[in-house]
Amino acid sequence: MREDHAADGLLVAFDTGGTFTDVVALDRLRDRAVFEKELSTPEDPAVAILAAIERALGRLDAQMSDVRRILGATTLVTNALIAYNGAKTALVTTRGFEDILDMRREYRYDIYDLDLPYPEAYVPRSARYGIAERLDRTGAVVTSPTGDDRDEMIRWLRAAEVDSVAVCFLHSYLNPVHERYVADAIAEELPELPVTVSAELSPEIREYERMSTAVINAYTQPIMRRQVSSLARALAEGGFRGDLQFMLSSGRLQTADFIAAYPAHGAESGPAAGSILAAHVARQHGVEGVVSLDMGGTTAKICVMPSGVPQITRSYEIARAARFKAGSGHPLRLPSVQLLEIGAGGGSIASVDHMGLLKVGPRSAEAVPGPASYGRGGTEATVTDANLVLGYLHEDDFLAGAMTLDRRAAELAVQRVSERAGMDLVACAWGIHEVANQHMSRAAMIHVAELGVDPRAYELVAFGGAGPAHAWRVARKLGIGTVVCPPAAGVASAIGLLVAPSGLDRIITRPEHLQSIDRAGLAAQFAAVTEEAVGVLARMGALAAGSVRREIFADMRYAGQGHDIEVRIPDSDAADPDWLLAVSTAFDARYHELHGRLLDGVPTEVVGWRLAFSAGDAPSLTWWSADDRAHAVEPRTRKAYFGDAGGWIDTAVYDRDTLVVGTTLPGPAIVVETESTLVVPPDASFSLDSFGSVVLRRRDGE
Amino acid sequence: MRASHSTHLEVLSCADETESNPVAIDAASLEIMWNRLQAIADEADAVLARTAFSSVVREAHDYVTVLMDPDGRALIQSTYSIPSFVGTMPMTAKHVLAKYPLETMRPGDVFVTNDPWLGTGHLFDMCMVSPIFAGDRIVGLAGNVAHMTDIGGGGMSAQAATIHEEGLCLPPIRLFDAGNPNPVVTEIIAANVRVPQQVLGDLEAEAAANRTMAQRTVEFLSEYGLADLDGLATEIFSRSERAVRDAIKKVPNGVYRYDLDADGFDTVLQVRLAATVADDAVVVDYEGSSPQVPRGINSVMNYTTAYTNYGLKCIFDPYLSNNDGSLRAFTVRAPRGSFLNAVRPAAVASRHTAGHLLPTALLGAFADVLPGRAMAGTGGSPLWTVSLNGIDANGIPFSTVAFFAGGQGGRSSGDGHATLHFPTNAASTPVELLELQSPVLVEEKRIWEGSGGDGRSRGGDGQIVAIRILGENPVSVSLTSGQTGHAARGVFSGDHGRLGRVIVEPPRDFNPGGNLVLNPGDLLRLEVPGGGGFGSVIGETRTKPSEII
Repeated sequence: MREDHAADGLLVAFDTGGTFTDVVALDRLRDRAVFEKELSTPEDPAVAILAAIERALGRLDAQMSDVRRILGATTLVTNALIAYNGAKTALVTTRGFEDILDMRREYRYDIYDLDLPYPEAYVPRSARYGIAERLDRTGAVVTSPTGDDRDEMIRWLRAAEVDSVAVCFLHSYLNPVHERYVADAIAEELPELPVTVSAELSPEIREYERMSTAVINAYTQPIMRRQVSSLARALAEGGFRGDLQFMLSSGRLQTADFIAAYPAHGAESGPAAGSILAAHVARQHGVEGVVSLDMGGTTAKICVMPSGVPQITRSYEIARAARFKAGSGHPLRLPSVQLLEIGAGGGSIASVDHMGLLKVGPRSAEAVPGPASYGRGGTEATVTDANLVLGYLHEDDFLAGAMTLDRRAAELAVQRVSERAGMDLVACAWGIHEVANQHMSRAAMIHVAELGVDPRAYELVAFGGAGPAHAWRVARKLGIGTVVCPPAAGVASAIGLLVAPSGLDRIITRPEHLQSIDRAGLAAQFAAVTEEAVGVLARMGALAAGSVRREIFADMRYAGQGHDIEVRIPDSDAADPDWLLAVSTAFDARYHELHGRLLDGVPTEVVGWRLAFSAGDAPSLTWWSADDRAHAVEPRTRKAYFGDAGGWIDTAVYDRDTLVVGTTLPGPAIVVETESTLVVPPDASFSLDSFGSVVLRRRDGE
Repeated sequence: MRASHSTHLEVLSCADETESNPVAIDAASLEIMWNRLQAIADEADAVLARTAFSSVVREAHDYVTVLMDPDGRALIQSTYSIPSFVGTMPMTAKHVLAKYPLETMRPGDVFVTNDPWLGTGHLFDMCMVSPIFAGDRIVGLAGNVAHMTDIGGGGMSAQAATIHEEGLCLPPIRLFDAGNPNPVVTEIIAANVRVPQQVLGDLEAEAAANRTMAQRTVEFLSEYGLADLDGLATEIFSRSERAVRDAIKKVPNGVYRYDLDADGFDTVLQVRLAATVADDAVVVDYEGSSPQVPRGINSVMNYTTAYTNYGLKCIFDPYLSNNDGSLRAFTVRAPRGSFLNAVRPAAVASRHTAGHLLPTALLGAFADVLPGRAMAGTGGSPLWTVSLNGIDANGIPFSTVAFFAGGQGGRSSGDGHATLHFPTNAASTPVELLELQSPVLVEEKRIWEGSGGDGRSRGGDGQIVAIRILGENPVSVSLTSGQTGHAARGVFSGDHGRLGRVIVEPPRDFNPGGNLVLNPGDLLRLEVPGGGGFGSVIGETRTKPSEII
């Protein structure tokens, strides 16, 4: 497929997190990769990125000018939203609807607790401007803004002294004419002021959600623009001549210009890259169905991928005022890898509620004070403390000795919980471990059920600091019999960038009854959108590596239903008369799969279309094959507790870099590496595959 | 300790042998299994939303899903739910069981009723119950309630004098007989409602939700090697009951009273509440409240009980999900024939005009002793609704219901939120969708600044909405509203909220809780008021009695 390996000979990926910036540099010609970590520099992320890249290149004896592509993911967008330190932003909206941002959807996300918090809007009421304009439900103009209105708005914007502006009008998803008019006026009069046009960013019905999306974008845009240009400049000064690209929440790569204009598209870029790595790793085994589990200090992120690509959601929330409570955040209606975020991480705190139930999370000890065993002032029992009591972690080999754990402190903390729970110390530690597992498996299970798929033949790919310690039991609860732990669990997102396709999505909102679709018109619209998208991809340099792939998805429902289902439809010519039947058949199949029933005599309708374009073949990461690895080393042994297998068992402990490819070893075992500890329970066996991943499978006969 | 440890191991592992009644479930296993039940109810909820046709279900989320034991006792309900439905569903299930005993039920049966006295208090809510079979044994009941856009009759307002004017009433019947839809029922419904496709589609969605709940429950039992839910249910009920009773014990014995006068249709409704705390139990009695009236603002006992229990739960147990055990410490009484225990043939379409007063009255009664849990009156409560029915320009019937929130009352913890419902919990319908579904143009929808009462914590503000009728045909409008005559009350010397108004242009005589016909070009303007303030703004704030819970 790939014609020119040399073109991508040297690739670099970075993932800017709140604490660390991870960098992976991959020299494809010599099959060599190096990882670097650097403390993030939030005031100018380029500083940390550049330092880490230069160190990595130094280890590869390479120059910045040798690098063909640099790929990035960042949590900075999300962090600005959580910390409320984005740009001073204005909103221009339809007069009479300036308060929609505060009114939200008017319901309580908790019915019994009346003290429920809601998040502040990112644009205060004083920075919202209502202009006299109106479209009707068909997108036809009812009231046009006059030149005087335009001038008055410009005067107001000047006086408001904002750094960014969002424009969102009613029914603009059908017709952007007024939003465009206002944006053009701003571009003409205040050319320095960045404008977010809601219909261009998220052309979807429901004004509050669309407005929230536009505002989130405007609020983060100046920061992102500044950071992208600072990075591009620094890289250029360092000698970089290649393409700089960023990951979107949808798991696709886009140009630096795109992310600078639409940072809201990058809110979940890191986790998206992680799930892409998981799919890639499973594909190396010829497996399509994947569940990725990224368990860190505070949360676990799970992504269910039935066909080896992440599911795309177009509606999620960010910066929730009440952690993990749906309905307490800011809605964002943009394509994103469908992630389940669960309040279960190594730092999640265990407690007993007034009903005597053992709870884990969502409160977290975070990095400070951290788990009790970190000895940094934390006294509450966390999942990490429980794992230490159970013998999964050990003070001698935690983080390859980079940090010592205080076993006594962990035991005391768990002891306090166990007394309140009426359990003994070890049973309580096991309970904490299992409650955390169950939080993760439950979330995944609901999602699996919603997707209407059977996960038993899937692989669960685990990474993040705590993922490998919990993966097997989470997998078993889902009926999954294979767990894969790729190398370098701590930099999975950066590695995922290296195997991600370039691409973009285009949304067409066009509600029509299936039987009365103007097929010729639609075919023409598909062609126009495709031409535009291919043009964008060509400008990204993504076409060199291969042709553009197009997938078409229809949002369909029975006429009158409010929720649509996304149906993948055959990409044949829409003008072809047989095409309608194919669309209709695809809908029936998907609806039946989801709901087990079809409705007789109810017409189907299409609400809109999503055309997904991707280009560029991902490199296959065989470069960490372990043929130069050390020979087998006799493991040491310690006791570890397996509550479902008889209790304390002598357990072999291996250092990951001493594992030999191909040898299958029985559980129970513990595999220690720098950034995580892998637990292999007694009912599993494990081996190192030729790609460098540790693979756990059910032991024979179990 | 040893014994509980070994049980714990069996339950945590996927035991092969079936365990019919685990004696005591440890803290971790119970937490895990309880969470699973929550997931089951939430998944059924998601199925209902995804397959529903009406905006009142899918946008306003006016429904609930409930998992019950075979006796119709609630184990868990969907996280996002409507408080009254949470309370009435188990009562409805018991009525269904009385008519169709367990031994007569077959796999695939689905029972439905909207009888107000057996269901939620008005005809709009279709209550559905399905047996959950594990093998040939019924291990539980799947239930849900959803608000239909239309049920025939005079619409959702207080206009009617008797139930017979309010639409189609289905006694408990089999909607599905061993999995087969009952075509007679479908035909009858289709012949009685304005938008058959929406109503029948929503009924299908309810049935789908119950199917999902049943299937997941059976999977859950098999995964944990349990023959039934009994042991788990016992544990859930007893722990919940104990938690609530422990909380009640911290409140001094005595009678806590509250008098609340509120808008009736053309009279004043008097709520007279006396809550007697005796050790670990509470009896709420509405003796002395107004008699039932010949307008659709009467509450049936199911509904009165549900909203009273809800208010008590907010006060005594706000952090846990609800179940049968949570409510065992509570007893509710209302005089037969009062507007809080109306008898047939009372009109009830707008029964929330009565029921929504009750949680506010309870919070008022316990405010002095539990100020940390107190909340001033919420604006726009009883709920404001607008139903629009008619024929659009293409000759196609439309029917849509939308809800509009006032402002939350002030709390000790802070100001009330603007536009937030209490005690009901419907969501708003987006303006873009409302306009798509009915020939109207919303000219403004904004926060009514200053409509909340002042106080140490301010009452949240309500909203102003102006709806212009478009098209060529007249539109039948049904209204429900509250606080046009009696404002949301402040607490601890906080100010009351403003009075609400419903305005029609051109002006005419109408009742803000009744029906009217609007012509193209007419304007309907709602001024939904804010909540009451909490605490005085000037001088010494009232000394806060020490927090008891």
